[in-house]
Amino acid sequence: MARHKLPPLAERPIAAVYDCDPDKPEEERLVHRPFNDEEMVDYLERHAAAERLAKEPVVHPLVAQVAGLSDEDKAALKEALA
Amino acid sequence: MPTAYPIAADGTFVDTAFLNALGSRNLGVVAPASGTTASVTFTGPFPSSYNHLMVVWKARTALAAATDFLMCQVNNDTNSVHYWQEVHGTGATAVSAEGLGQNAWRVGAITGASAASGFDFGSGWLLIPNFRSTTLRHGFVGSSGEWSGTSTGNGFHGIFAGQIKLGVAAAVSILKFTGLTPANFTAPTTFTLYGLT
Repeated sequence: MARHKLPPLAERPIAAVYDCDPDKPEEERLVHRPFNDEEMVDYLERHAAAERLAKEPVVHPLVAQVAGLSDEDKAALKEALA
Repeated sequence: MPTAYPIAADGTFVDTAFLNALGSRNLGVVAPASGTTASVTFTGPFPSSYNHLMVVWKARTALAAATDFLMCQVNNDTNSVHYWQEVHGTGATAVSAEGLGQNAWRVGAITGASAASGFDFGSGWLLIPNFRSTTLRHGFVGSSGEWSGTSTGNGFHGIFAGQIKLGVAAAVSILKFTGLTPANFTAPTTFTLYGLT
């Protein structure tokens, strides 16, 4: 797992946390706080994964299916389409 | 004579017993303002008078993409314990996908900042049956749809299911929602949690 340099709290995304405790006054239930370290690491790793995925070539599902056929099935498909 | 139900001045019901008798209750609503929050979490313990949890949602994020997936993490468990399965259709294509040993369930599809219209949001629901059991690893079922544009293939409708497969069995007490690639939610994104009897 790659190490990430975590930004300071003031620069982190915000988490909205709602406490469903029925004994808590409604006005105290919703709290906004910066992402903690664990959430920040997950955030950075997901963005890194998205960037890697964006660089991969896009293959149409049908192309991927045909690529997975045996040579005999490919020949049969080619003949059927001719 | 019709039954008189207790209603407060703001229109909300005030009788807990009456609410319980309805079979469901709104346990909480979170509607982040645009550009302020990248995750929405409901924390419990959720009322023991309910047996099931349901989340109804409509969401969009500021991610620089037309679409993304909505993820749900249970009990703040960041370990590789979430397993999910989905089947969805887009245009005339059906797709099946799974996630094994992840840190969150894929529970739906949402739109991002690149969706064709600012009014395009993903929407859906998920149900967690018997969430209070401490002898089960819990699961969910749900459905979701979105249209990110007006061309063929821009629509998405999927059914999702998942389960916690590893770790200690525990009641569900925390549900956290983010985009697959977390980004700030766009208003009027709304998550509503219901308890069902």
